[in-house]
Amino acid sequence: MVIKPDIQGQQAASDVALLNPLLQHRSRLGAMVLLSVQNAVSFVRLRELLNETDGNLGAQLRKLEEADYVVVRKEFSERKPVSWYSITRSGHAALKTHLRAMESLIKAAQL
Amino acid sequence: MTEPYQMADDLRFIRKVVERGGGSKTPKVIPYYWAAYVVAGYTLIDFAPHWANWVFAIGGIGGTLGSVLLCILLAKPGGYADPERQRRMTLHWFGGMLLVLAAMLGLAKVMPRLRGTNIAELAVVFVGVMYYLSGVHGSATTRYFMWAGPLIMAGAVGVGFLPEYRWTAIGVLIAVCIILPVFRQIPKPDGH
Repeated sequence: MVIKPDIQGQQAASDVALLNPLLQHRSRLGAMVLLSVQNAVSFVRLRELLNETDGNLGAQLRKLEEADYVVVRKEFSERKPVSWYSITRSGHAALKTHLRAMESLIKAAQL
Repeated sequence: MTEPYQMADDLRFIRKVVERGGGSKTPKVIPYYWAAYVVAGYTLIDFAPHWANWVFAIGGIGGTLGSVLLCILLAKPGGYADPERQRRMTLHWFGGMLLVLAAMLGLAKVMPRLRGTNIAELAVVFVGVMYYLSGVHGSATTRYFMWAGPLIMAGAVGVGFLPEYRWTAIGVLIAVCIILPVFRQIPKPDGH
């Protein structure tokens, strides 16, 4: 009777350890999920979908770029600069691990 | 908010974001064009067979080029770029249809029994396989083809039992299979 909560507690502790601090920010997690289902998404489209300001989204994406989770490619379209973001292989792996840990924690909390 | 509640809230937010625009959508004019193409082409087999081949050939090549061009032109301004997907889709549909055509011509040459209506029904069976594979390997919006493909295949066999207008019937069946996913693309209101 006492063993089950202990096991659940240990599982929850290991799930917490698997959470990626970089992906615990809503906009960063949202951007990563969007990029994981599409080859490349423009900065403007990400900003619209995530309902973010230019400055904030730029800062969040820079953190993901520094962690090598996303790459940016810049090009000009009708003389305007367009930034295209794509998720990297390590970004995919990090997102997968983080989402699994989140799912497991939410299940454990029975939400 | 406690952490699991915060996480559940974040996941709800992300689900909404993905539903709102998690991927490039096929322009609606494309499925409407192909639905009209199959209805026109197959109906002509019943009513004016000599015109059917021309409609299939010209409409098929023109429609494929037009569809590819439209996808490329509309994807980038929409904020999405997926040349790999466009290449795969072109290879799947255009390359697949050419292969089906080549296989049918080859089979008709070596197996005279398969000429005429028989070979056309066999071609529709192959088209059904292409739809099924598109559902398996395509995007979420074409996942529906996983059961539309077998339905087309069953239809190709089933219309053999119809005394009349069998090609019109199969054209309508394929057109419905093409059009239905369009309605699944209509976004749900989410207060955005």
